[in-house]
Amino acid sequence: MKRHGQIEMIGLVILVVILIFGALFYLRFHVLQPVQATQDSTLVTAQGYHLLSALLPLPLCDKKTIKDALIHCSEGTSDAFCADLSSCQALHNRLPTILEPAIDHSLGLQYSFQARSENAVFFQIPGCTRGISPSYPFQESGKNYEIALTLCKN
Amino acid sequence: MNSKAQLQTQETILVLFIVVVIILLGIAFFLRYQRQSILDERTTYERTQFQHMILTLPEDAAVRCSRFGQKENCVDTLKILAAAPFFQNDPDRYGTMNITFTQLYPAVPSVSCTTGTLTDCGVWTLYTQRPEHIRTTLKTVTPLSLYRPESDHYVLGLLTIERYTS
Repeated sequence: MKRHGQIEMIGLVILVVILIFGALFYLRFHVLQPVQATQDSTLVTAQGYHLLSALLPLPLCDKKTIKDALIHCSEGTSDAFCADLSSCQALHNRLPTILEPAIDHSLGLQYSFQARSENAVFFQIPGCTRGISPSYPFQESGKNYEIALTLCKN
Repeated sequence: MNSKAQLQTQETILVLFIVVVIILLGIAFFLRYQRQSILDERTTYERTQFQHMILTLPEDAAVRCSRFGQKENCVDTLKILAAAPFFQNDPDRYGTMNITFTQLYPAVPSVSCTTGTLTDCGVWTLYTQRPEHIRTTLKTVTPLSLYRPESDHYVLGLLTIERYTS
């Protein structure tokens, strides 16, 4: 009876060893996986931030920049800004042609774009609804502005 | 010793032998798995370090824009041309790699810019070292602001870093 009990104990030890191996595999595949996702999102956030900071000084028409157009557009006026186009119309026409080569062709991502002034959205290009959302704040004449992208996979 | 006792001893030895074999197999498998895991981790670390070059390189004082000592969020294209020989002379640091800046907007011809050709060009090479036989290529890109001092305006650029293994 005593011997029989010892053999059962060995069986129990084997079972525990198998369970430990199972737990190690679980940790490997379920705990380390999100690390890669975090690294990817850090990279995409940085890429988006670089792009947003690069957008503002870009020329839109004549000697007017995208930053000038965004500020003009936030005022809600329909005055001609680029030839006979208003600032918001000019942004709608030109911004996708600037963003698409940089985001779609180079990064292989889809996007949506939003510009806010004092937390109110005044301009947007629809696209992604969920994804990584880097933003770039700036100030002009005491007003706070923010441009933001939402980047998602194709 | 009677035959029943002998049988029980043999049974115990057999069970112990099987248990030891299972434990040894487990240890061998675990060590092999651990080794692979460490190698994977090393690869991931190297890949992350490489990808993070798109964060660190535009911040390098050798290429970063500055105006009256104030740092700006862009890369000076003239500085790229000035820094390229120094980067090129440091292969121990960069290894087999290709670092280029390309103008995306406004569109310009894909011609390499040199100290003799500053206009009508849109590609600046900071460092290039390609091995004869390329086994794998790691690539990372980021859009960024490029400053063109010859015309005093900002353009949208793309930083492309490729690392080769032979």
